[in-house]
Amino acid sequence: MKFWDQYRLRLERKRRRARSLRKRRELTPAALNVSKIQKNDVILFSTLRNEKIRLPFFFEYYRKMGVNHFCLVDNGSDDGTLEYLISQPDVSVWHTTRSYKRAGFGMDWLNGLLGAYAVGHWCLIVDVDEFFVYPHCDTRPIQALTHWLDQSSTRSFGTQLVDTYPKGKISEAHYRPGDNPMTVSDHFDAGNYYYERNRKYGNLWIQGGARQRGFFAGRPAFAPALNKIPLVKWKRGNVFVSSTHNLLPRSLNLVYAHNGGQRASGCLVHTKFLEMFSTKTKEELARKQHYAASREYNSYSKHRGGKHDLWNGQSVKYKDWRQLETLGLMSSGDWA
Amino acid sequence: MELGFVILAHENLHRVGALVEYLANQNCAVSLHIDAHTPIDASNELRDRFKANKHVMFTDSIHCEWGRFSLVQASLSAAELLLQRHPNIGHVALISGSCLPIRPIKQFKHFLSRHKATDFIQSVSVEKDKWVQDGLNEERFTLFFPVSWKRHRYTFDKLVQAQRLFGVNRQIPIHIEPHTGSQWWCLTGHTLRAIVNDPNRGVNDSYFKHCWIPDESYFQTLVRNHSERIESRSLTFAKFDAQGKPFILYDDHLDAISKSDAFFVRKVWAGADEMYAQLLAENRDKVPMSKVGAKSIDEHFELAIERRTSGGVGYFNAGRFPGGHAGSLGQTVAPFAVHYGLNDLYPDITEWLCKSSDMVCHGHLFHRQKVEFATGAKNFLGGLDGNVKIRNRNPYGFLQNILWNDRTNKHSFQFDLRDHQAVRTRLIQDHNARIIVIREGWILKFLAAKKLGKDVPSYARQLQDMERAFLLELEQQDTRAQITMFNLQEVLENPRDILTCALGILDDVAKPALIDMPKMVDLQGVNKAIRDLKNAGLTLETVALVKSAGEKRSGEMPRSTPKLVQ
Repeated sequence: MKFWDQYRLRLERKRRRARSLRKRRELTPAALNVSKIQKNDVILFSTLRNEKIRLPFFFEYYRKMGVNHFCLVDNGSDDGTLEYLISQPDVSVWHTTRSYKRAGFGMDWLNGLLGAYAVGHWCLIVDVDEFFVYPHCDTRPIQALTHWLDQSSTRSFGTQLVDTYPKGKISEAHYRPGDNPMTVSDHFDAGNYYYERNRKYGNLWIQGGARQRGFFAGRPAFAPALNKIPLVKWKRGNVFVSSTHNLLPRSLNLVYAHNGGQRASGCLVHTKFLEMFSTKTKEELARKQHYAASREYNSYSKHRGGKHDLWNGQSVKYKDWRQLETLGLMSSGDWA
Repeated sequence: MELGFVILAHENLHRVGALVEYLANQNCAVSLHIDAHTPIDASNELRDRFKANKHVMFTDSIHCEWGRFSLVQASLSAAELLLQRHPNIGHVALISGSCLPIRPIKQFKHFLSRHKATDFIQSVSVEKDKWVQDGLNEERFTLFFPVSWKRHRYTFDKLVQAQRLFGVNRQIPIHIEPHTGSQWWCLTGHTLRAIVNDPNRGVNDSYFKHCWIPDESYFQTLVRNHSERIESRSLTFAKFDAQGKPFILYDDHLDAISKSDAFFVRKVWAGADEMYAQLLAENRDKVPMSKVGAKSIDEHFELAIERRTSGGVGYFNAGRFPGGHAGSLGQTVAPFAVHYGLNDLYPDITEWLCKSSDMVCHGHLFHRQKVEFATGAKNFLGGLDGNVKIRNRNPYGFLQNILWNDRTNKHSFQFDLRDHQAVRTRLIQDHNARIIVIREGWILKFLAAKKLGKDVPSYARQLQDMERAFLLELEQQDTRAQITMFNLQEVLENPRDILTCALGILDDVAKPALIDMPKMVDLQGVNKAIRDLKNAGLTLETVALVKSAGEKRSGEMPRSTPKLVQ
């Protein structure tokens, strides 16, 4: 990489950081428990809106994994999400009604919070419908992983998003608070993914899966990116560029082995497709707050929203991380 | 006293405390060195805890650094203290603060009582054998290493390079014959005392001070001068990964490590509550030393190294994307066959291949209008969609997915110039591709068009140009595919060859003779087609057949040999 390119990335990083500091002012603390954060704690960051129904299981899953604190941005929920979050002891909540889109789809807010509270910590940046799955996650807490990453002088951990969907119509996948969404929306595409590399930022660019074939078959190049780097040991000056797909400095994106072989990596099980999906689609389309003129939601709406059935004869039922490793979607690498 | 321990600790002192207490309760002497980098209040707490315990002693803390003599210095001073307090000690074992005993100490003592005069230390001659996996071996002993590798990697590497350039070769003291081995040993009190009180101690220390990683060579070398009986193996199980750092053990390794034939393991994760609770329980039962599965934990980690360095052939994920010089390797999971132009000669070739071989025989996977999976379905294993637009977005990725998703089977597919061509370049560079080519096979397409229309010759010329470009590509230097070339004439004269070749291309053993042949396209008029094309101004390699194909006597025909281009 040329010196000039490196310098341009450095300028971009500075610009994004300055922007995140400015945008951080849009946030009002609603419940501030950050003083409870201890050295070596793992902190989860997320932006959410009207997700109350998903929250009980979300907290159960990540607390069990060993996440010590949650830093969440509530973007103008009106279903009681904010009140629910405030009642949690290990959650710090910031509230804003400002534009999600103009805050880089929430990333400016999170970059701001990460810069303020995450420096020196391992942090997990996921959406409320995404469940982090890493090698041995059934027997080892997340601290085992972060300790090993520290020992390996690695500062970030790569994952691939795996979209799950129910067998049958999406609108008939009934979900009650506290249910495990991975047992309701429980099928996925096992080997339908395409891998490229983004030269500028150095990250992988993964597309495919159920969303590509189900909603973007006519324009596959526009299908959502499935590469995510959700686990990062935060250092002052780091910024996410586009969602958690890539970040700066560029070295944090090099989570994969490029000389043959494979490094340890995980998956994010994405349980978007539950019965709430069609109402959510309508709502989000009306708000027009999503990436690239909400083309993803436009596409969902065109495909009859919730009436769509993503299941086809080849779908695989989700079991656990070992299944994902056997299928080649993740790897335990040399973390045995 | 029968047994003493020298423990080197530098972190997680609460775990070290538990280990020390366990050992002291088993009536073992413990001499502890705490790294001076450890926070002072934590180390004071540990000292206070064992102040009254007569089995536990502490040496002065020094700053230890990986790869430097300070580690040996720490072990030596702790050993000296132990020998001073317990002059009649039987055996002394060196372990780290993150080690745990796999077997009860009672069992260990019993084992040592049967080997009273044996020193258990891995000691491999540097000249005769190579113990060091990666990195410096003999040069550890003949160069100078004034800076730390961990802190000054660049300077370290440059200094090594410079010394190589100037041919630096340190004089090894005459009584020293370099040996290396695992850092963790168990020596008899007698041998250890001899090393500590060596009349050449001053020479030894000042020599090893400038060696690289002396903790893996100091005792390992000197034991050769003093021991009566050496068993060259470590009683502590420790395994290193490709980066050279020890594998860490977790609760889920408990089963596998208890089968190991060692007495101690390292390195245990400080958060492995279950493992600490079980292995440090008082009154543990004897853990049998069976030979069965003794290597299972070792194999487990060997597999991990392999996965990290060369695993994942044929698929990608967030942790794997081979590029650069590694790009051509490990792209597809297994050999696959590509039949170029066979379909023109045999319209039913796919069905025939399916019937006559154990391959999964796809039609034109890269057909411009539709994807012809072998199953005839719209999608394939793994949820792979037969949508042409999705396929065309990354055609080679599409092929990789097919091969990986159905990796238990062998695959073949039809391909010709009328298909979507984007996959071609990568196909030719794939060392797993086995391509059968019939040159000028496209002529047969003109049999179907009974008489040559006006635009047909120009279409033919176009096809011919494309084929020439394709054949040129096959001759490029980066071609890694195995290519078997036939020309149309050979095939028409002796169709058996190409069919046998197509059937057996993915097998190592030859197939039995063909029984039923696929139906060939009607060759009535092949001569006329060739003539017409020639008259239209094309230069063709194929000449008109002497006899019509229907009357040919294959037994009399000279057998043509396919040309193999690597």
